Amino acid sequence: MSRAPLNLPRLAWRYLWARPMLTALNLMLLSLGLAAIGFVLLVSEQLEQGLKRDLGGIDLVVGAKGSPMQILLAGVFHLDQSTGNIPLATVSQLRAQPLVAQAVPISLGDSFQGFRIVGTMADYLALYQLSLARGQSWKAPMQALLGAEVARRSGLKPGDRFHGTHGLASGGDEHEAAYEVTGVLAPTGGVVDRLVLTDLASVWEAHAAHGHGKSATAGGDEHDPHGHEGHEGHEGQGAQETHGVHPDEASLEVSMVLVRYRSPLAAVMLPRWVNAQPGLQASVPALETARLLSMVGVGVDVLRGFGAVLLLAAALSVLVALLHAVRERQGDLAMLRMLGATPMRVAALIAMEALMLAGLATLLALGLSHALTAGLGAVLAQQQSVRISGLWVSRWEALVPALALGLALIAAAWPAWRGYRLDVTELLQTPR
Amino acid sequence: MVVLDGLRFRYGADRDRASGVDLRFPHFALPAGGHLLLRGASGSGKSTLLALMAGLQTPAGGRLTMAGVEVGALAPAARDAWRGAHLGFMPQRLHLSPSLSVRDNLSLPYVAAGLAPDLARIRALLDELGIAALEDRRPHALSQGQAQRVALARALLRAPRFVLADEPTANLDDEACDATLALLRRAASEHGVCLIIASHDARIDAAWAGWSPLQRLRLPGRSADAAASQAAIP
Repeated sequence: MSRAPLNLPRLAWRYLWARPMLTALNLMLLSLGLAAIGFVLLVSEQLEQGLKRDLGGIDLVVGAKGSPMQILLAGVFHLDQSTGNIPLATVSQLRAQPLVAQAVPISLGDSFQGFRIVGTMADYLALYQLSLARGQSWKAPMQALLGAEVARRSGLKPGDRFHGTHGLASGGDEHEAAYEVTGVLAPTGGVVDRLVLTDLASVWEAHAAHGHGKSATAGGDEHDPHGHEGHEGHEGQGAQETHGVHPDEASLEVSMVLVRYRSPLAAVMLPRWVNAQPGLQASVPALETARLLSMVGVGVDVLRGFGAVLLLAAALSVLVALLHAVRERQGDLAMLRMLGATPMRVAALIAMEALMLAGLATLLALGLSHALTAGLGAVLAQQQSVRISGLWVSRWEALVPALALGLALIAAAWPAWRGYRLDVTELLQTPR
Repeated sequence: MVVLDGLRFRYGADRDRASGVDLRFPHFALPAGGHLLLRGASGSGKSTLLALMAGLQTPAGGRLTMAGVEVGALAPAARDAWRGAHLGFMPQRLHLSPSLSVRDNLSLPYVAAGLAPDLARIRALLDELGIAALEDRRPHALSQGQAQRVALARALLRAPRFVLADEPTANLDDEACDATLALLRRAASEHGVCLIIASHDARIDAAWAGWSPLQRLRLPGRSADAAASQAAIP
């Protein structure tokens, strides 16, 4: 470095590191501010993408009366307990609606090593456009498809058997009946990777065999009777009396129905119709995710604001440092002018210093924001919730260098102007 | 080589005209091969004349011609280029950059002009001035005499026609003063540059009393107060 012949950028670089502590401090301030903004960007975008992917083509989720947010969280993101059960007949009722393109029931309540077992129908695979990595789909009750991550973590492969656990957390009572793995799903990056898919009847069967006398779902909500109020004849029944494998359809229950619309008109009509039915609650994912994001958004805004404050502090610090540097190096800069440099060249030298700082800060900030995102992703992966990767690249990350360069130029403008207007004749004055 | 023809300068000319102070310089011509010693009390305009010669100030009237070039008439960028190419400069405070090595300090004349440093020429000049071993030192690790040689090398690097020295011997003891003057005189003869020295140091007069190419120009100082100069300018 010191052997290479000097030029303007190298001179700027030398000047930048002539005060290493100050430069390091400014670099840190700038990098932290930019990294905070980059981190928010990476996480919120992945969160939104993840939500969108997990929603698939679902336009409406129908569950038992309760919080629509809870229905969405339980039925689509598999993060919460279901609000209760609804009669299986709801599925055929919904399918009979001309505005409904697809209605897929799901039954929740059991788990395997902390991964949720979802009883559903073959349509579920089509709804999420899932494909198999190995094996085949289930043909009969008590056969199951494993999500990619479930297969990876458990080491199970087609032909293996496992026992489901009652409840959604691992460590509950094990059901006696064992599931047989028939296939493994290709990874999607979405919540399906962490699910075990099986036939609706499996869940009924598991519970029937277990002799709980419970309905197909249950979860941790333990059948809040209020959730079923008014739904005459079904309350508390479910599979209660169905110790057989194929119980009477009228008494069967599911947790929720995922619905895809046939026409946009359905968005106006269907939720209203559902909510008018006794015991049924409509949850519109578009509305609920918007609500969810606005709640998360407060945190995002706080982080973003924090980043902005850091950046502002960094910009001011860079401005002060450069002004100080211009004053401190007034002699150097005047000498450069004396040696034939144009005012423009002197201003460029000062601007270059700021730009180099910004360039370094950008590199550091991008590395830091990805590392932070990877760290958060690792924590969330342990909790088996949202999937966030440090390798995710957003095109909005281009904002980071843009912001850094913009700030650097703003911070350098005044010092560069001072450099531009430097009074060289002071060199000729008798020093005081 | 240097011609002053009715040269006038007005302090604060860009501000309030009425408060401007007029500085009139005598008619003068320095022949080729001559050197110039500017004398005069402080405030007589020595530094101003140097600034005018370097194209750092613009005359209010008259002409200043340096080696046939009327510097004040050049466009700003051309003045900068002219200064870089034809003027070497030895300020009273040497203004070597403390953040740079001797070699990098000597690269500045090239960097200032957007040229690639001529490392061979830098090495040759350092050799000639007997300070080749100091190439990698920082200025604070140099003695006053060494630093002065570095500053002289910086002034001579781009083979200028003039070397402007502003009070080069102020604050120096007699021995250092003699050494500096010897250095300047040797550089002038070996590099064929025209020395222009502004100083009120009587030791220079004494040391160079018998040096025939040296001409002296005594500046009379402010010729008039604001009101008088107002009347004098048509």
